[in-house]
Amino acid sequence: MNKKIIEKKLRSKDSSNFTDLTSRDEDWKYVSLQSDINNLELGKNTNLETTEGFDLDANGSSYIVNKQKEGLSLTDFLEIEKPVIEESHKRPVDKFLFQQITKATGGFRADVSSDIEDYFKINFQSKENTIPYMGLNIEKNKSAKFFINFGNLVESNLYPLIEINLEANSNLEMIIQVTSNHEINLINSIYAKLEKDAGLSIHMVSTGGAFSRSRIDVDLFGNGSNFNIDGVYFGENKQTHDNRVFVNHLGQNTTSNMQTKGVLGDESTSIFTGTIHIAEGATKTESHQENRNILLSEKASAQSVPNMEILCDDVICGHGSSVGPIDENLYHYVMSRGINKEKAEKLLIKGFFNEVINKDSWDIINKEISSELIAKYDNVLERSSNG
Amino acid sequence: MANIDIDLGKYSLGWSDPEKNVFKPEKGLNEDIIRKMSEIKEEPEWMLEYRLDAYKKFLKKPMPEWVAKEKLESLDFDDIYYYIKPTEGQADSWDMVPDEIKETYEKLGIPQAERSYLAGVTAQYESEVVYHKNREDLEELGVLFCDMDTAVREYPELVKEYFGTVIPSADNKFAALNSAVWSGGSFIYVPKGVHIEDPLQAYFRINAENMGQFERTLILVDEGASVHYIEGCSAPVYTTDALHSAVVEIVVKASGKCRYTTIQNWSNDVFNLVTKRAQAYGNATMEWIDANIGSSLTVKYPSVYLMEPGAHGEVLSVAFANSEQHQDTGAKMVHLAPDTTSLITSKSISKGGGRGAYRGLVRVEDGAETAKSFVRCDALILDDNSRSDTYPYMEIEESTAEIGHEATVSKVGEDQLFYLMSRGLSEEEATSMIVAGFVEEFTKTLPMEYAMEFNKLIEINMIEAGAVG
Repeated sequence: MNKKIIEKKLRSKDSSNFTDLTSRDEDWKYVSLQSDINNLELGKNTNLETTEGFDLDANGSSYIVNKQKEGLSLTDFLEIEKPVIEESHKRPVDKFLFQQITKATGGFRADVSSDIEDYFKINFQSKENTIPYMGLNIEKNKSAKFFINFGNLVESNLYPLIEINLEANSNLEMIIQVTSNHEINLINSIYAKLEKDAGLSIHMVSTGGAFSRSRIDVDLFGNGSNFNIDGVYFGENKQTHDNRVFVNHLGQNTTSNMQTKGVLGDESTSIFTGTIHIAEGATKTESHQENRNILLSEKASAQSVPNMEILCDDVICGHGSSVGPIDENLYHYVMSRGINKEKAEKLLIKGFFNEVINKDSWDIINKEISSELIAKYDNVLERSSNG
Repeated sequence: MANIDIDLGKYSLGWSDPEKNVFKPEKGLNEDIIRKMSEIKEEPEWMLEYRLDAYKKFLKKPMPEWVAKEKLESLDFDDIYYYIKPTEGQADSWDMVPDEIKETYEKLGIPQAERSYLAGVTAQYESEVVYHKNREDLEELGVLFCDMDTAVREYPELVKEYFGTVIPSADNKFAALNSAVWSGGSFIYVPKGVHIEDPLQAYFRINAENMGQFERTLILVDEGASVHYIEGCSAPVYTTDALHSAVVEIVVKASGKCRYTTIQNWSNDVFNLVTKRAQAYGNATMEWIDANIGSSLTVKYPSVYLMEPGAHGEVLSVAFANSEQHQDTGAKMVHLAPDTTSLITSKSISKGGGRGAYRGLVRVEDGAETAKSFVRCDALILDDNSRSDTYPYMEIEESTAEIGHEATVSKVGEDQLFYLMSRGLSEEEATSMIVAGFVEEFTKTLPMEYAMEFNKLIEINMIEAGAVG
């Protein structure tokens, strides 16, 4: 991206506007921050592998298109002249985001001008710490599906900066999957802006990395726009899964739905914070937020902070959140049918996730994710029975 | 209250008497004022040291930045009187209370309340308690109920053992300020196994312009004992900001029970920044029932530390944020032991540009096995200028704990309004009735006189700012 764009995004802020982030900052609360977060040390990836089954491979420095899609044009990061979003409305910039914007190492802008019916699959890989940029613009009345994978080829820290602009009546379905089995930090910053009647659906899977964080800011600008996010996470060892979702209802007749569910084993921890903000005059808003956590192991923990800020009276808004072991009644129900406790627990954990991943929109990853979650569960179980 | 006709119109609780004070130090705070204050109160050396130490902490502590930043920035600590002594000596019978103060209480309905119903009255008037009379039967049971200044002199060992143990002076800036300059407040000790049937009551008022009030309350409920304490506030209407910054500490020993009810109705220029915390031991129950109607800004999160197995904490919080008001209220439950349970119910109403917020914390420490907590927040938002926030923090370190949180925000249902209006009620009356129904869970915990007064206050609040809807 050229300097002008970056300057515009930062509205004349420079690094002196930002103090170092600590876990006392609301947006980084509960996170044991590594000191490098305030001064990202970045490298340059050279070897980019082509992976089977993916339409595009990217490594934070460059990308290769394996399979062209009709109606999708890509512009290299360095040649971007117009950002997909000129200015964000409510997105706060902190020292981390400032670094992402000013130090982005590579990436692309994708423009969708005709419907993309099958998922366009992107595989990220990295051997050095990088900040990939991805800008998505879906033109008026068009719809698209993107699948973004952070799998085992992500071997070092990655700080993706993702911007999404949805023009009037456009639609985007996106899967973000973090399954890397390396001890890496994956810190996503995602911003989406929706025009009139646009729709955005994000499906998130977080089972990998040492620290996997997604900060998602969504501005529902246009009347009738809607946002849906559902996700599952599973923690083992000392993993941290950190999801922060901020939805700003700015237009009228907008809706949002959040549903995230997670199981935490070993010494893992999860953080869910989200804010539903309903601006003055954003009448007929409907918004729901749900976060459920099951703690499997003695040293696992969960933090859940579902916030609401409502400045308008004509709204329907609610949230629910829970942390706890599996419901005794459910055990009783399953075990009374002759199933032993161990099997019952497995079954119930499966059922817990199925509520999210059995939806139609999860079809292409459903099987894979289901077995990944169960494998993780088995790992936790094995460790706890061994010691 | 039940048998007299009290006019609870907007200004009836907001008046001020001509100031007639014996001692009136200058505005602002320094070590000399604290020393002088402590000397006049004839306090023991340890209390003076405690105050001076807290003062240093107050100076060091930063202003909280996460709540009502603009309002708090307008607070000028140098523009406040930190200590005023209202009359010489302490009245021990009603006849000795000066007439103008009596009139003040007349308007609040205290004499009737005492005669007809209430167990004891401690009325705080400009920093120091001016009238206090304990019911004789309570004295026979060994119950101690007096103002905090008296308690420091008469029960130094008991006070010294617990004072500042639940809320250390370094807890937050305003707790540090209170610890440095506290004056008045109540001290209650309920001995083992003693149940006090009727609620104990105290009224507080801020009277002089720019008068801060820093009362300090300590309630000790011994094993198997129980008490219900009611605190109600009202204040004269003034244009400049007054600060009210209380600290309330409560210890409920094993199997004890304590209910602390507050009806806060400071006039709309008061900053009400209060720290309230209780410790509940084995199988004890602590309940905070907290209603906030008045003040310009209230920041208050009554909390219960559940120290031993079986302890139970409850907070029922009601907030009414009207024009230019910010009610930042909520609750904190900290589960430190197995089998502890807690329940938080919050009801907030925002209207006329007011801002109501629930801010709460449920924390379950590792080892607090099978702890259970449920939080329910409901908010009513009555017009398009108002604001309702919910910030519930849940920090769970224990895998066998069961924690739940549910919240809703809505406006008054059109079908409910239609139903009531089709029966001949005006829109205002119907809305008032729905709001009263919304907070009924709270009103039904109150003694009848309070419930009536509270419903009246809701009604006044609904109507005074003009038409609803």
